[in-house]
Order: sequence, then C-alpha cells, then structure tokens
Amino acid sequence: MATMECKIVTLGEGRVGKTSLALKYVKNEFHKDEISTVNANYLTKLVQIPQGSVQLNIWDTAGQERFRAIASNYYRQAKGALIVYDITDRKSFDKVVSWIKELKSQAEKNIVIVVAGNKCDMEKERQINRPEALEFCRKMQIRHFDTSAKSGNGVEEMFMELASQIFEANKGELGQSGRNSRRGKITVEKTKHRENSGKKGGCC
Amino acid sequence: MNEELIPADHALDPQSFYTHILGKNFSTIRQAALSASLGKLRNRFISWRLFLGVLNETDSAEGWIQASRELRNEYHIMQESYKKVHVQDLDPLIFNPLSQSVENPWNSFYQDNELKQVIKNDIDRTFQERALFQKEETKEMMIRVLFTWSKNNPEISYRQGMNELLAVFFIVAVAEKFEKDDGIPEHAARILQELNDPTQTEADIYWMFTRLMALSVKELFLPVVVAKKKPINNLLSFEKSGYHNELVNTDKTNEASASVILKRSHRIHHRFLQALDKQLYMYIESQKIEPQIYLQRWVRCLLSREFNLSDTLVLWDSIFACAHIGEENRIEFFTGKLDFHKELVMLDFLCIAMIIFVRSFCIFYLVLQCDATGIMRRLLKFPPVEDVGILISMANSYKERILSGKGVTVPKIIHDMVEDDPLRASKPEPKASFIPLPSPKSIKLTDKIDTIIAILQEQSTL
Repeated sequence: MATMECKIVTLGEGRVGKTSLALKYVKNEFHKDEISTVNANYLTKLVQIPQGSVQLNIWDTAGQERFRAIASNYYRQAKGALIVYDITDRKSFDKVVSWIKELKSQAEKNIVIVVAGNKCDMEKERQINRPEALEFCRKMQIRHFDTSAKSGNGVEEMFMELASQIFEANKGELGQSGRNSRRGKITVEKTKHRENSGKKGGCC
Repeated sequence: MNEELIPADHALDPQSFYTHILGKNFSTIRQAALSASLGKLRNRFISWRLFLGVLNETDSAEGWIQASRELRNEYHIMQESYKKVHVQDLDPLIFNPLSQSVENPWNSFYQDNELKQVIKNDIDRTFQERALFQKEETKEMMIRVLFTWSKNNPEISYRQGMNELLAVFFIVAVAEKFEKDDGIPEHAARILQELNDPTQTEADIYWMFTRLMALSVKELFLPVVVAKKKPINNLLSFEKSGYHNELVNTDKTNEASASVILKRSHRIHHRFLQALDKQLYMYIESQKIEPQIYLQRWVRCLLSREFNLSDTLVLWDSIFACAHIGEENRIEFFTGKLDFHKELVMLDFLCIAMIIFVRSFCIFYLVLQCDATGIMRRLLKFPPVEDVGILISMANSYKERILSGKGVTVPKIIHDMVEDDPLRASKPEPKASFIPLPSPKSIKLTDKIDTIIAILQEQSTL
C-alpha cells in the first residue's frame, strides 16, 4: 500500500497549545511550561489508517508569526491545517475565524482544516461556550475536536481524522502521481500545483 | 526539577577582575572569548558590557562607574514614565474610556496592558525549570525591562525570542553579582562593587539588551517577508520560474526593512556557504530548502534555542567579542559590506560552522532518503555538540577565509540581495558538477553507501 506524504501546519494564537498538541501526538510528551515557539518546529509521524498510510510532516508554527511569513513554499504545500484555540481564552477563539480566512485565501483549495478547542482539562475556566464553538465549525464545515494536550484526550482521534480526510481529499492523485513520481514517493503537492495553475488562471 | 540558582563555578572572580579588567588586558579577554575559555575568567558580565559597548574600553574605571550611573538613572526615569498612566486621574467627563480617538489616554492604557500580557505569556514559560525564573520578582522585572524596551522601540515592539535573550543576560548578571572582595585592593573592590551592584541588575541588563538589539538584532525580529503584492497565480507557476525565493505577503508595512532576516539568511547560505563549501551548498540547494526555515530561529535567538545554557554562554562570548572590532575589519565582501560595528558578524560564521558540522549527516540522508526531510529535521533540531569550542574554531577560520578571500570560491552570482529587492534575486542554478544523487527505489543499499562514500571523499577542493 502506498504511503502518502503530506504537510500540515498548526495555527493559532500564542500559548494555546499548538506545540503541546503536536508533541503529545508525535512523542507522547507533555511539558507544562512549553517554551514559546520561535519560527517553527518540525515533527514527523507515520500514521496507519484503514485506507493506507500517511506520513504527516507537521510544521508547528509560532503563534506570533503569520504562518505564511516564514517561507514561500510554507503553506503552499500544506495539505492540512490544525487551528488551535484555548477554551479558557476568549480572544484565541475569536481569532480562529481569521486563520480560516487566511487559509481559504492563501492555501490550496482542498486543504483540510480541523479546529481544536484545547485545554479541555481546564473545564472550570472555560470561556467559550461549547455549543457556540460547535455551531461555528458546523457552519464553516470544519470538524471540531475537544482536546487536552495534558491528558491526551481527543489528540489521537483528531490527527487520525485529519490524516484520513487528507487521504480522501488527495487519493485521486495517489495513483496518478505514483506512476510519474521520480522519487518513488507520492509528491502530492507538485502534481496538484500544475492542476491548479491550469484551472485557476487568474481567479485569485 | 529545580536547579541550583547558580553553580559556584559561575560566580564572580574579583582577582581576575583586578588583573584582567582593571589591568585592561582586553586582547587576552577577547582571545579567551574566541577560544571558549572566557568562562574561566569569571567576569563575563563586565566583559559582555565592554564587548557590546555598554561600557567603553577606552574609558577609565571611573569613567565606567560614571557611565553606569548615568545609564541606570536614565533607565529608571524611562521606566517610571511608562509606569504612570494615571488612569485614575483621568476625568471621565473629559476622557471617555470608550472613545476611539488616538489621543485618548485610555487607548494607550489598554494597548499597554495588552502588550504586557503578551510579554507575560512568554515570561511565564521562560526557563521555568530554573528556580530563579519561578520567582515572581524575576518575572515582574523581566516584564518591566521588555515592556520598557518595546515602548522605546514601537516599530518592532515585543517579539517572541526576545524573552530568552534577556533571560541569558539576567542569568549572567545574577551569577556575577558582587558579594565579597576576595582581598583585592580597596579601590578595585569599590569599582567592582559599583559595576556589579546587585540592586542595579534590572537597569544593567536593560542596557545590555538595548545595545545587543542595536547591533542589527532588532531588525531580525521584523516579519520575515514583506514583498510587493503578488497575485496568487504567480506563486503557482513557481516550478517554471525556477527559483523559490519568491514570497508573498500582502502586509505592506516597512517594505524595505521587513526582510532583514531574509537577507541575512540569504547571505549566510547563498554567499558564505556557497563560497566555503560549494558542494554541500549545491546538495542543499538541490532540495530547495529555503535557508530562512532554519536560520531564522538560529539567528534571531542567537543560537540559544539550539544549545543548552552553558554552551550558549560560550558561543555568545565569541559572538560578542567580535562586535565593534576595529575599522580595519570593515570589509567589502563581494558587493556587500561586513561591518563589525553594525552587526554580529561572528554569528553568521557560527551558523556556517553548524551546517558544515552536520555535513556528512546531510549527505547521508539525502542519498538514503532522497528527500529533504532528514536534513530539515537535523537542522531544525541540531544535535548536541560535545565541545562548542570546535564550532567557534571552525567559525573563526571561515571568518578569516572570507575576510582574506583565500580558500574561497567566489560565487559567480551575484544578484545583490543586500541592496536590491531580495525577493527578485534568483540564484545560480546548481550545475551538474557534483555527483548526482541516485534515484531512490531502483538502487541497492550497498550502491547508495558507495555513493555516500564517493561524495564524502570528493570533499570540496578547497
């Protein structure tokens, strides 16, 4: 079975737990006082899903950076995005919508987005009404997950969902680019670009 | 896990202060910094202030005291002035708290609080494994210093990473606070006591930080890229255009200076690395790894994120020791200028040393995995180096080679990334003059290993 390689980026305000979620998932580690990310961290994990296997190359960005500001091919090759907010911080939730807008305008059309309401182990300090968050994501047609990087709740499930949605969204290219691939790995991004540049013209 | 505040071997050595600092053996001090042994003199706090220009080497010791007093005083005045917003004194009949007017003092009050909160978020997780940084008074002090600096530099303001630079200064200041005179002559003890006065740490590290930032460090914190607005379809035709330096960002603020970090990354990679190790440069280029992806953090945080604290101190010794060295070291490099009075040039060469240090790793992974992920992982998570003195020696020799022009391949380029718009700059296409990478699946492992050996043996002809 083929391995699909894909890049995903983490986005969200500072200190919502982007790095912690990625680390929990990839290394099963949790540090209470995770240092602030400068630039970006890079983590990889091979995920087995029923349809095949997906190698997730996770670009974990700094909350203070606008994610596209790091490198030109940064978001362009991203197949998935994880937007994180902190359920105990109203402001971080309010920013989710602007991250979605940014992705819709800058990233590839079929980018898979999921939203994580993180720190759900701190239910007592919750500032975001859960039904409100769910309703918002439903309207945006984006999956929402309650996660806790501390306890691990929802983390595995969320990344699995992300991986399998990415697989579904890109399986069309799997066979096609697999034949042409110089590298033997499926470089989804490249074939996708050519398609896009042909179809899209100057529409954006 | 709480660590001891300061290990005893980092404490101040008054004898060494008397001999080397008061004795003005500055060449010895610099030499020590460049051979990874400044730590042994245990006068890092003063040495760094001298290197960075907070104190002037040519002044007398009395002059240092005078300058310190003035700077400390200036800091306290500034700090006081930012502290007083006096919202309680504002008459709500005159100043409506909800008015959006620019002059409304309430607005700056809200903005200041927001800025403080952003800083606090990061201070709350700066060196939290250390008892020193868990103390509330430390946190408050760090927030005050960064807040004051940010207010004085609104065009940059606070950016993530500054917290850690300041924290390193604080550690050094606390480690070398004056406690006892160790029997040095009375006048020397008095000077030392004044210079390393523990009650003045806050003002002293503010000025160290300020001087550091002034060495072209603060511009590094500006957003990576601000290019002219480009339609998105330009981006998608990237494959055709052949270069990957194009960046888009619609943010139009500070066009000229916003890409300082990008220019710096490009200089390190496209000029210095290409000149010093063309082969490695071409292999990295062949993977289209944009240098700022890893160099941004290396450069912004002055390598403090890549090494543990004690190694960071040693690396910083060498970086700071090369700041502000004489006029004769202003040199033209290709078309660009290396000015030791304006920037921390040694930092560039340490980055080169680090890349070359993991050279065989890079080549190994390129051949075995046939993609960039191995290299990326290695550069974004640099392996521990047993003795960072090696990196300093390497960096020093690369610096000499570049300055003298001997033993370097002058790149044919050169699109001028320094003066021109860096985003238009393309690079020379890597020529096929290096051993090609084998195609992945078809080849046997033993053949791959042979290729690796061939590449490593072919070492640059320098």
